[in-house]
Amino acid sequence: MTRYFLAVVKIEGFRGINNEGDPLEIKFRADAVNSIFAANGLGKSSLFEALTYAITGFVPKLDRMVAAESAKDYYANQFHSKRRAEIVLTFRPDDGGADVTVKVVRETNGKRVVTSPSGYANPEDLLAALDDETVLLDNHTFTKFLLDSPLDRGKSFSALLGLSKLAEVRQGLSAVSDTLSFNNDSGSKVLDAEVALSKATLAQAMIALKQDYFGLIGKQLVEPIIPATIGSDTTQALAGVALLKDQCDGQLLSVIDFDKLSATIKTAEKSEDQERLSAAITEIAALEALAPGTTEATEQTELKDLCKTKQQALASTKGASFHDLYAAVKQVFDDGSWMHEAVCPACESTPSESPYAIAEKQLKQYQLVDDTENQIKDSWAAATWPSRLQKLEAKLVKPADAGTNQHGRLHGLLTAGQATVLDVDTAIARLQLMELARVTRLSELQAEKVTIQGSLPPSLVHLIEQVERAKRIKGSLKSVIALTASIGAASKKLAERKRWKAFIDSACATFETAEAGLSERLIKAMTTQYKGMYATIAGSVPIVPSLEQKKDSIDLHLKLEKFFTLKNTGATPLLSESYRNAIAISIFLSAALQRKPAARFIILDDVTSSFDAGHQFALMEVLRTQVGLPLHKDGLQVVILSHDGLLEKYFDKYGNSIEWHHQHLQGLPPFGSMMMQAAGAERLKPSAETFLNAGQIKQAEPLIRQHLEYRLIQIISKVGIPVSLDFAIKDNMKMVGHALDAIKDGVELYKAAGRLVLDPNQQAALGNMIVPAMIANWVSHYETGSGSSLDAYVLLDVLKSCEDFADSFKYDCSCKQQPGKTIRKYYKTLSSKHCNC
Amino acid sequence: MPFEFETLLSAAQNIDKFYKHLDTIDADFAALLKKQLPPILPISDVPAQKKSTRQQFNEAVVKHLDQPKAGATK
Repeated sequence: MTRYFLAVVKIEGFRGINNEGDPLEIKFRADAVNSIFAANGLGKSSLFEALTYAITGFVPKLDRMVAAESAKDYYANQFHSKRRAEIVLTFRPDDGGADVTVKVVRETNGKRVVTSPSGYANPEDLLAALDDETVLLDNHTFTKFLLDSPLDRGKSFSALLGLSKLAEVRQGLSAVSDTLSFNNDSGSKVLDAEVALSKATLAQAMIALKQDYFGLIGKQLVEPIIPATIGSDTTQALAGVALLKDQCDGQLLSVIDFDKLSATIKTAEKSEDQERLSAAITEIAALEALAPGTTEATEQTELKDLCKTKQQALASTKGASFHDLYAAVKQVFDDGSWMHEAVCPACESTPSESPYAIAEKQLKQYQLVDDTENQIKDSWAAATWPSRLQKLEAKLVKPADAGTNQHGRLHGLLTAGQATVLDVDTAIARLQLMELARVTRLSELQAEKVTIQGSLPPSLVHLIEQVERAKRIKGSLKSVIALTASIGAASKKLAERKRWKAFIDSACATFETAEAGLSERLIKAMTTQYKGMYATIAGSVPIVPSLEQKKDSIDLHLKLEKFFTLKNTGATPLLSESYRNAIAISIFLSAALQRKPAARFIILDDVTSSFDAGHQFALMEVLRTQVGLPLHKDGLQVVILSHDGLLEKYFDKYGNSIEWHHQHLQGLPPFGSMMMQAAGAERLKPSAETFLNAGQIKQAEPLIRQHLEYRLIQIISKVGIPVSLDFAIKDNMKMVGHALDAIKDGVELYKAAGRLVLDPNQQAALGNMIVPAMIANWVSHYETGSGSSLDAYVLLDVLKSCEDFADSFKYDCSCKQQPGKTIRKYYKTLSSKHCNC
Repeated sequence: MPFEFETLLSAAQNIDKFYKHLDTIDADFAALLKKQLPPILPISDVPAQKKSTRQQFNEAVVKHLDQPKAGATK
């Protein structure tokens, strides 16, 4: 498989890098550790962010900002006239193939466009693959690693090992297997309630059916019932009566017209009593069907208990505003925006209990309220007594008194989430009242029935009863068939949902276990390596770190096997920042080497901030010998970005050797241009002249300043002009005025000693024309805080004066080292040449 | 033998292996998961977005579960 290395990056208009029309170009070596030094504020982090954005499509620092910060507006350089950022990456394959160039543009409107000027077919895919195989590490990331919760640390660790995609899938599985959410989203709760209610109704219908069947046929109805047989038995029983034979013989029960049967009997008897008897029997049957169910008391107790639980949970909360507050507190801890475990992010107080624990406890109360509310609704929907109350009120309460009905009232309150135990009690009391009324009415009807039966011939009374039973059998049978079908359909749906839920639960558990197992094996594989790296970086201090991940858990615990004389202690509370970070970087580097597929390059930004010189050098040695190519043959292409002056001494030592490639970033961000010192300082003057000739003075000014500083420091360096200690070690002293002063003082010193090598013409020009011109036209204007610009012609003269100034420290060399050529070269020192020319 | 990820495989290869493992348990559900899960990844940490994504997934799952199965009789 082809392995690509980063060869060149060109950046224009991104973050602190302006370089309008003249992109910053940085070359990397595939076979060496690449270090880039830049003083603070000189665009080092912008370079890291540009690489991050090009490869991953985002900049974490900007993404972490709140929406109000409008971070998306700050990808492009704020001083670039087009507010358009362009990053061109050139990758070199290790199989000898042609370089691949990928251009990533962030348009003015924020759109990201990826193309390949070299013609690579799928540049987006290449970047996505590199995203999987690149480790981008800045100080924030690894500092946070140790301070994170074990869960977040475990997640970061998965990402480190190239397992982010596994983590994504795990989080996805975990989200979609959440039971409560699934039951809500899939309608399972509603189906459950429907099935429960239908089963209760079916049971009642079966009881009625069995009673009537026994009454009509004289045989017990045995389950499972066969509707066709019941229908046939019923019609045969009716057809056995001579009066009804014509209408019932050979008919299906479903087509028999019971009103017509009643009319036939009424006509035969010609009696109003028969009609009253029929009505009484019907009403008695209806009221008997509304007898209390066996589960009512349990249902009522459950509903009351739930209401009570909810009221208690609600009383423990502090209302909706605090709900939002606690959620926000938990959120800032969870997403890492707030790192002080003991301090409340809302009020910055230090409570005795952890603010996170307080927020979690409070949020649980709110969750309990919501959960109980859902349970109340479910309980109400599945209970049988509400339906009985509703029917009794409809039957027994006069329309004029319907306003006192409790079913509708309680249903409304429950739906709105406002029902209390008292409301439920009121409805139960109402049901008891209705039950009394039902029993009373039933008793009245039965007395009336007995009276009417006494006044009618016994055979006719019996016939009327039989017809009414047959009529009820027809109704019950219809209900039983419909309810059985609906229960069957709903149960089938429920079974499918339960089967899916079991599948997704099992998939989630399997995935988590497998991921944890993989992490565990990778930790085991890298343990020797990270411990060795840590020992190299931290030196002989008797501290041994240990990473622990329990089986079947993502949580990653960092401990110390040894801390001086102590064993098995916590790491974060005991270790100083420097040692913490040494452990973190050791883990990160080992993880990068363990990554599958192997990481191709690792980019480190400012990872040595908390290290002293000794630890810094040790870390560099680890990178050089254990991580980076070429000394580690299976290692990574390493890119280190640093602003540390001490570390640059190490870079200088190895810089531009076989295994190390060092460069120095300089420039004037965010306005001016930036460049690599080795490559581009000579471009400053022509770029500035181009701007001046176009009348673009503001764009030219920073380039002129850079050119003057570069040229004067070059003179000091080439000619070995002695400078003060401040000038030598402080970057902010390296301004044009200070450099001119240093050179002037050196010249005066050598002149006074009679040893100055400059010829008389050079000395005269320097003293009488060039230096005064530069001071008048630049130093006295631009280094005294003046806000206005000088004329373009004056600034062109400044550039010319600067070159004349440099030329005053050069001589013509035509000695045998350059046969046939005369070259203009700097004096060796203020008192000598390189040769005898 | 419990299902395991392999250290020598990339994350994408291990995920493929996982789906193949599910395929041996329930091919219909494995195909449903493989079709519906990737489009909703990564899951947002923002509760409202997380809820909406989950609902979108569960709706697709329920639609699949409720549709008549091939070969099923009425």
